[in-house]
Amino acid sequence: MEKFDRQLRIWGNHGQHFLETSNVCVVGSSALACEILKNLALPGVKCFTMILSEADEPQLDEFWDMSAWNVTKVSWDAVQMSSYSFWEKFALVIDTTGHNGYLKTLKEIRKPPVLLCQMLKNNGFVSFLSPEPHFVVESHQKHRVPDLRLTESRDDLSRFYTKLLENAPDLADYPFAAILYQARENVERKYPFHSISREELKRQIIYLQENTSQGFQSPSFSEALRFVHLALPGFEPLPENVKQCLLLSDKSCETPFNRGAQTLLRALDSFLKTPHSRGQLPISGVVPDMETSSELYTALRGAYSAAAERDVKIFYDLVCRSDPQIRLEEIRLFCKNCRYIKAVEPVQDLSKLEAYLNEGDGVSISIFKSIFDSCSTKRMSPNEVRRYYPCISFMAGIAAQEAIKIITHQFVPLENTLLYEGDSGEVKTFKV
Amino acid sequence: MADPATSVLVLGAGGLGCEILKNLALQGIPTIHVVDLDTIELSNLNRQFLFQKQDIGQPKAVVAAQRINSKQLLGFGERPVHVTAHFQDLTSFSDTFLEQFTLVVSGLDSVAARRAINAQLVRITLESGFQKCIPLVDGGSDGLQGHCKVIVPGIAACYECSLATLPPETESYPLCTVANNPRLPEHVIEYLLSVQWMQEYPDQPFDHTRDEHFQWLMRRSLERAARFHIDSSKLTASFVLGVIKNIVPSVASTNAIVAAQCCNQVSKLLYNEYDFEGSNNFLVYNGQDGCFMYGFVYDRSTECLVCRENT
Repeated sequence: MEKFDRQLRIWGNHGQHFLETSNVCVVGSSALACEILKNLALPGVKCFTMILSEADEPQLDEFWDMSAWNVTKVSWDAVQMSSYSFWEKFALVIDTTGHNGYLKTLKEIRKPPVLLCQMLKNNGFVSFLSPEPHFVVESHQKHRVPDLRLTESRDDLSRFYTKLLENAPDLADYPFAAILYQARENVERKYPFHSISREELKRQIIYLQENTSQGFQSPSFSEALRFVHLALPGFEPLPENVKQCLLLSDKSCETPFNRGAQTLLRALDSFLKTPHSRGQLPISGVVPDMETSSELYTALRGAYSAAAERDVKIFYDLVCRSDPQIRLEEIRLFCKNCRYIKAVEPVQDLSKLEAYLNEGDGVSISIFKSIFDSCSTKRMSPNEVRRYYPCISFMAGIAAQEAIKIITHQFVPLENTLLYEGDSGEVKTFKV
Repeated sequence: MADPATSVLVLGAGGLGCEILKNLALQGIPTIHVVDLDTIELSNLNRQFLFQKQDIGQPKAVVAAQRINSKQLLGFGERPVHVTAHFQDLTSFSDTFLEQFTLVVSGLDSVAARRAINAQLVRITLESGFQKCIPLVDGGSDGLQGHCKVIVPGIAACYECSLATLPPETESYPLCTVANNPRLPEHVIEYLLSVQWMQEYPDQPFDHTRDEHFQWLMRRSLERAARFHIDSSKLTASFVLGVIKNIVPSVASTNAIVAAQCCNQVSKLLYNEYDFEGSNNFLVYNGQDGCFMYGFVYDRSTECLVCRENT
């Protein structure tokens, strides 16, 4: 079993590829900076630049052996570093210092995405800054709603269900999706011009159940009653997260992943306008497990993957108009996940964060300001390090976690600023 | 400053254990013990930073202790930080051994081991009439999620009090499904291990670490999947191992976050800043959708079989 097995199960080979080919810049060399480097070197980031600011002194080099991490150390150079050409090679910049020269540069020039991470005593903050939205195709939502399209059936699925349910079969062994389809058809036939209610559909399912050989013993019918909402009208409107992504699809972006996502989103906009889609997202083709026989389940899964492949093909033709280079695999991934795509809006620029802090009030904002205004590069005494080491380690863990999500474009990163209060152990998030 | 006589026992030298040991050493705790009965494997090296390739096969506790000791750190009262390794099962510790520690921090991956140490620490407190009370700080991590619980035996909720909140450790499928109507690759594997292996090899237990056993499982899985027309694209060696070993995905950053929360609780306990009534004794982290870290007070269960006092 290979070294990265445990994390490949989280973000896959393609996520790992992003990490291994990204160049990450860390500003600062304190314990916080070293811990962040460690948290990114372990999962496989292979190329780092560490900027040593004047006031900065290495504190814990003796604990961390950086020789294995491929870290290029450079000193702060106001001239060289005030040009975009110095920064453009980095996938992400993580500033741990709040160093004035750096912050000034941050305001003046366009930069790759930045994570600002500082701590003071038992508190810390992380802020995600970038002028462009951050798109996530694989948000890995844990609770996926089964994408069965039972509210208003597509022609291909209707044909499939009609054939499957032919010859008035005993429904007891059928998958719940087929039972829901049949129940909805029956209700629609009975009351053709009115919107189906939950109660009517439930009554119909119970009626069908009473007419089966197994009566109330069939697990499929319990599942059908549990998932009755999947067949109710108005169940599948376009989700808010997708609408927001569509609105941001024309915003100017530099990051290759974001540009690619925007191309796909523009194609999605066209897809939703095709008569084929009837305003519905491409179908995912993923079918949850259902109580039924192997044969019926295989038939059902086959019908849904064929439907998904049909949508992928139509989508592919739409994307090819603007990007003939696109790989079919990318489209499959996008169509499979498009119900859960997300756009995170980072803090647009540093002055926005400063304004937010100056205008805000309350205990959390004042803690935040005290960290922001402190000179994090000030050397801590040995007793201070001992007292606050968990906070250093915590902030480094959070910064690295957000860095990984930003670099891989998987899972949803912080939107867009957080404050950790060590006393309560809780994190508060703000959208600046 | 905290008491230089402080001593802490760390349970587990894995992903959380490495982080906890490093933090405690840099927090200046002079006397640290660590227990783990595992040896180092290649797949540990994406997060267990105290180990290197050449350590594969060595006991985790021993190597972890050596690495920390080689840093020659100074702790409270300028005492040298020293880690003592125990390459053994933690359930065989005597009460006398446990009673030497100020507190216990656990970074385990097993519910059974946590229940055992929790029960022993609670019993020590109750039997001594609260003369001895050794807090247990328990960390857990799974993918981009984790938790930290502070258990003050006899005073706040113990591990057992919250047992009902845990999800089932392994997914189980009805036998009728796996035998007659398999639909998923998981159903296929379950049938092979719980039925077919016993039929073909009644006199030897299945052992996935033996290559011929694992090859049998892979071969038979593909055969059975084909017979029932089950999508076999998922049936890779990595997937099959994940199912049979119930592998929990793991990454360095989550371990850093959870271990730091545990060690922050350790600091609060050692510097007398912990409020036994009002402090959040349970903290949960979820980094899958933004950054969610929430704390709350979990009350003792009056029906808890472990910490309920007999009246």
